[in-house]
Amino acid sequence: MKYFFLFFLSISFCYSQTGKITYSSNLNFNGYEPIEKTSFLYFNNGKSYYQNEIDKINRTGKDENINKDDENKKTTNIKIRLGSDSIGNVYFSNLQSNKLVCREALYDDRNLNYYIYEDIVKIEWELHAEFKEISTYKCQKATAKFRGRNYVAWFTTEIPLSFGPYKFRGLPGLILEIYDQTGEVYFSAERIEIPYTQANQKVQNPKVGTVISYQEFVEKGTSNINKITQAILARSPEGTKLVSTDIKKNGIELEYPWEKE
Amino acid sequence: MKKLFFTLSICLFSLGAFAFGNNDNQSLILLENSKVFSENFAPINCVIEVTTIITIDHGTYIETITVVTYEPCPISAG
Repeated sequence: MKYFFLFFLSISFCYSQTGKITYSSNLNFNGYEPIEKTSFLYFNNGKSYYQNEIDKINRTGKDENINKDDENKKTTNIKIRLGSDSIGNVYFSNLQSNKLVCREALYDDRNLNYYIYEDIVKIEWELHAEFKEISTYKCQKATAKFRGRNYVAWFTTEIPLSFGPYKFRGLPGLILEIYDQTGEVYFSAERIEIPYTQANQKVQNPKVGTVISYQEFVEKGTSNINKITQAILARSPEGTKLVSTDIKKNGIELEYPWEKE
Repeated sequence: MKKLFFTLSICLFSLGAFAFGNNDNQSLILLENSKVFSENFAPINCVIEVTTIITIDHGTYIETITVVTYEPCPISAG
């Protein structure tokens, strides 16, 4: 009877609670300038909406500098930063349908285009008997491997919602801190607002953008290399020969689900 | 003796004329094989290795595209 009551309490919490969690994220990928951002997780009725802070200034831009190494060698460095539109990147979770809908940008045909893909993420968490306190909440340690990185998460059952920042989810409580073992990825809850009634308007399935699969989204990004190579050749003098092209990627996700198949 | 001298003179003249006539072609061949710039021609095997590194910051991941090309050396105005 006691367990039934606790279970009922937990279920009713999930489907009635509203809240807003402010996370600070630090992505410090080896060899690149760190990306520091503030992001927000809104939740209500078993649904969550995770969004990066919208850039107040248009971050989209291009820096170009040319270094002449010697008479017969030169290097051109071009840095492109992708800003955001009025919505930006969104990760929408629905506990009932067990689905995650993502809205992410690609620099496609010299424009910032947003695409939506649906991805059911199942993370195999391992719970540990280690505890610590974050913002007065008692948190428990959990570890998991997710798309090429080993993560440590601290979650609290005091907020029994299986949500977290970015695509992290699936624990018996809200994730308040998560980082990978290399220290390249770090998310930490800075502010917890429960209840947060405005969450009802915010938590909506993102519908703006072209809908494609996650695999198509990633492949679309990779195919940009051909367009970029052609653009470089087009602005080079006549008789220029292509020697090699190479693409490297570093991010939160290092592996994709379809690569294991 | 006179005939022999006459024949030899004609042969030497013809050889000289042939060599002189091919002078331009030989100069070109020499130019093509050398790496030295001339006033009007860049040697055809003179190239500039151009490395273009494009870094795209997507927010949650960073992509680096490296493209290496060989550009012909510029022909200076003659």
